[in-house]
Amino acid sequence: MGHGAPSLLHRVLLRLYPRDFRRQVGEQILAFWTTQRLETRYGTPGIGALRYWFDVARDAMGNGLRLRRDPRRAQALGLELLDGGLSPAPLERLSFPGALDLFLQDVRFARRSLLRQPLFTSVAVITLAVGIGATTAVFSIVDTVLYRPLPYTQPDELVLLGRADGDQLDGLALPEVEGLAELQVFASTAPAVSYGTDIQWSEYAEVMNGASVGHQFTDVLGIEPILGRGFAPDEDLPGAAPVVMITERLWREHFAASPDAIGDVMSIENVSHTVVGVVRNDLDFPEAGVEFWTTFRDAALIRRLDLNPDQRGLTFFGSVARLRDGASVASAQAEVDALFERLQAEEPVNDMVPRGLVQSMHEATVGGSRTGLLLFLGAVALVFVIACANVAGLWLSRVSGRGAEMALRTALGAGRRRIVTQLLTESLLLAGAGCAAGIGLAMALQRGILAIVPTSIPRVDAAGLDGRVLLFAAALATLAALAFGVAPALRATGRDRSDVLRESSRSVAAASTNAQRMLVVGQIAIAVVLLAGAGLFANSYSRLLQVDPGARSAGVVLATFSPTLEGDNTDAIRGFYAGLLPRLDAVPGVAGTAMTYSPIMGTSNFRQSIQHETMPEDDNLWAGNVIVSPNYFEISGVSLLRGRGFTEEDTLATPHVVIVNEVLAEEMWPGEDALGKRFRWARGMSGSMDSFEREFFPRDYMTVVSVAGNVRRRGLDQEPIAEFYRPHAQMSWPSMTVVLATEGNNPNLAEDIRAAAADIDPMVPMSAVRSLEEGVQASVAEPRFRVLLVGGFALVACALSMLGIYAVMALTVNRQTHSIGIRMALGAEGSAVRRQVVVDGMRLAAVGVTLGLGGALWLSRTVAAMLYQVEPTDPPTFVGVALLTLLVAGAACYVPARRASRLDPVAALRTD
Amino acid sequence: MSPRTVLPLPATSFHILLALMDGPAHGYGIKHVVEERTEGRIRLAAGTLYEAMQRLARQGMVEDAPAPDDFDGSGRVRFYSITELGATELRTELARLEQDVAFARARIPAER
Repeated sequence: MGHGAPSLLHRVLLRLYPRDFRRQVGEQILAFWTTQRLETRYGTPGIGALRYWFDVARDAMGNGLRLRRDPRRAQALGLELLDGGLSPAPLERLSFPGALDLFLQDVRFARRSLLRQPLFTSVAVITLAVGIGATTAVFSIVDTVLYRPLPYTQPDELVLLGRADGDQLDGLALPEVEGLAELQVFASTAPAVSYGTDIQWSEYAEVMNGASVGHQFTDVLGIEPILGRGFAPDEDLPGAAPVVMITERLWREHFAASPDAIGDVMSIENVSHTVVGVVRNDLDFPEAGVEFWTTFRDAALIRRLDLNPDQRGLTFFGSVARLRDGASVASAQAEVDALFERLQAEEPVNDMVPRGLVQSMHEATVGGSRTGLLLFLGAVALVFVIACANVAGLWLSRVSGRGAEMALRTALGAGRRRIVTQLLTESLLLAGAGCAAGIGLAMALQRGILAIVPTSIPRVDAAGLDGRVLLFAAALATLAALAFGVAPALRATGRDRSDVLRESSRSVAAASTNAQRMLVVGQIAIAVVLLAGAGLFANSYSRLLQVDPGARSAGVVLATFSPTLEGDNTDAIRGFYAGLLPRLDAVPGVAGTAMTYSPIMGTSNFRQSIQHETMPEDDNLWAGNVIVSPNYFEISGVSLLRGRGFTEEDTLATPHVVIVNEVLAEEMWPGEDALGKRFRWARGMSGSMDSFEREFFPRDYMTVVSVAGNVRRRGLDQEPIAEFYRPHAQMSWPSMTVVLATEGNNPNLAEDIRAAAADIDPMVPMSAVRSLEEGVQASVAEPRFRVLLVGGFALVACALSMLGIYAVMALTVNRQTHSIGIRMALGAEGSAVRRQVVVDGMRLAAVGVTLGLGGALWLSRTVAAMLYQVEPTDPPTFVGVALLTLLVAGAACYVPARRASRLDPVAALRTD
Repeated sequence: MSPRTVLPLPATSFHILLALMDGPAHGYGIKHVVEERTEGRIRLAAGTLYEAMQRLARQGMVEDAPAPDDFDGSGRVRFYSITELGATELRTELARLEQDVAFARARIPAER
């Protein structure tokens, strides 16, 4: 018993038990509750948590309050001996008139009072439910991503190490990894590198993400395998028998969740690895999506490329470290800086001076999402404030309408405190109902938000409604009740009540109407802030969608192949693709095929250093190297501005040719024609990678045969970078992505493509067939998510504030029935009355809009970084939002205005 | 205190004592056994259970017991065992129930 630590909510609920009882068995009850959580009936996601907290709350409220209420029951547990044969008497007879009974009496009274006005109550509950539900849903997600500890032991001691690329972590060279491991400031370190690689299952092969990690990684992270063991130190030595650890998911899918999986083998790049351990799925190390781990020296990437990693040119390693007791990120950074200076003195890196970076693992994982998530939380908090203001407005009119009732109760001897308590109980009860409905709404909303959340936000899958979130909702409800309940309660009781009994309620009403009008101004101002934010995001998003990526995406599908061929020789590679492309061409619905190493919106990009003819030997510049087949430009829609494309005649036997994009042409030869110019690989860029270098980077010059249009390869909002294209025949890289232009609609396209590939080799590792259009969509997923979420909040805020202005104008008309009657009796036209009411309402709206625009301008700089080609002070957006709000507010005022203009003067004069 | 004074046992206490006849158990363990034995008819909440435990302890029918060696949970979890008195009470209660059942059976013939 006693699994997991009791949460704050557990402790709060425990307080319902009498203190003595808590002293005796409080610890026991907490342990009981935490164990109870593990029962299968509470295992259903979402609902399970609700059911559990309902049961625990019922336990605490039922048993705890009964012990408090029933002195004889409590006595039975005290030092007194039981006087025998006690059977529980009816509670009513035993109860004593204490605070609790008064409270229950208040609750009963409040319930009756609220049920008497079903329209008011339901509008208020729905409004509160929207505010609390939306805020709770967003909070649960933000809380999970930003504030839950990472799933490792003492995660705040963990840091990630890398070279510094600004404030981002970049890859390390192996000597750097080894130097870092010896620093005193780290208690332990483990290197790691992740990559996609081929797995051969018995029936088929697939590309999957794995990582090569130092044998210590389970110790550094402080995790236990759920089955088997971690790596042993001698398994991490060159020449050791290959071993692998896998996720629970792989274990279930491919090893039938059998304990015999330990000792079984798994084929990675055609090498059998013995499974030694199974770890849980949420390990996400060194990044999300990694499904298996091999030892560091086993890095398949190193093996495949025949690379020598022991030099500083090759930088794709990461490292995780646990800080020694008392060390901080800053003290670690100081030691790392010193290490890098020493390394630079011993073995300089020729074209730059690398710097090391220490980043807390938590920051490295979630830091990038923080601003965006806090923005959402801020936006939804504004919706919550509007909802409270709305209910406050309704509440004010309700309380002021009960002036006579309050006065009567005061006259009958009820103290002010008693009446305030009574009113507060009503608001608490209302907020409680809103909270219950809000939690239901939050569950639905959370599911909706998770369905559209961009994959770039980490850890979001773990979001749920747990005790902490429910406690947050309860706190919101209490806050709401105080926000809308306290002021009216004090107001309603603060005046000399005899006034109210004597005269009509007109003057009281006028005072409360003023307060309501101020609330409406505030609501409109907040709605304008949200609308302006949504407007800016929508504007930015639509501009993003209009950006031409420079390549066709409609109807284009991609499939990546990584044949593992004997010896990886170029003839075999060319032979494989020469066989593959015609077969894919023949697939129904395929209009044409080409191939490239770096499809747009993909992550595979080579960047290489080159130098042109007139550059000095030690100078170079960096550009992206895109390997393509000759017809790539035609199929993918990348334009060739001048010159010829690649042809089948460009082979290893003919001069090396290259096509540069506009950016590179302008960078290399500003103001000149690039056609016919030449450049070559810069010396030493590939270090001592001998066999690799000879094959791929000969020192021959390459001649520019064409200039291609720019492509936004990394996302619509990313400016094109300098790039050049090389024909696959002259640079036969094994792993290529086939670009298929499709026509018509072949529902079995993916299967047909797979079958065509299997015709050559059923075991060729092939990625999932994916649509380029979906890839482009995914690259704008975050901006779209912002538009949807902030836009949704803005619409809700707008609707609530319009409800607010409608209610206050309707109330005003109601209160002014008498004076409107007089004016109409004196000959005022209906249209004049109508105009007066609308103008009155628009005055409120105008003040609200002005305040809102000011607030939005002030806040706009916080979103500047999230906007694409839109100024944070974009005038059309702001003007549009102002006009829209005024228009809608006018419509909301028009309804009560029309009613005012249709009053029968005689009837109106008769009203009080 | 004589056995007379605490009988008849409330159903909760009866099942708790019955569960403890198998050996010492902690609070949640008792709940688990009772729930299984009654096929879910009696689901004890923490408050109900510990109120009964406290009362039974005062009456001398249960007492604290050391945690068994194979228990791997927190050291603060309290184990209970049934006392001699508790076992006697349970037997007396059982005899009383049997008498009642026999008495009832004699008057209400079983349905055919």
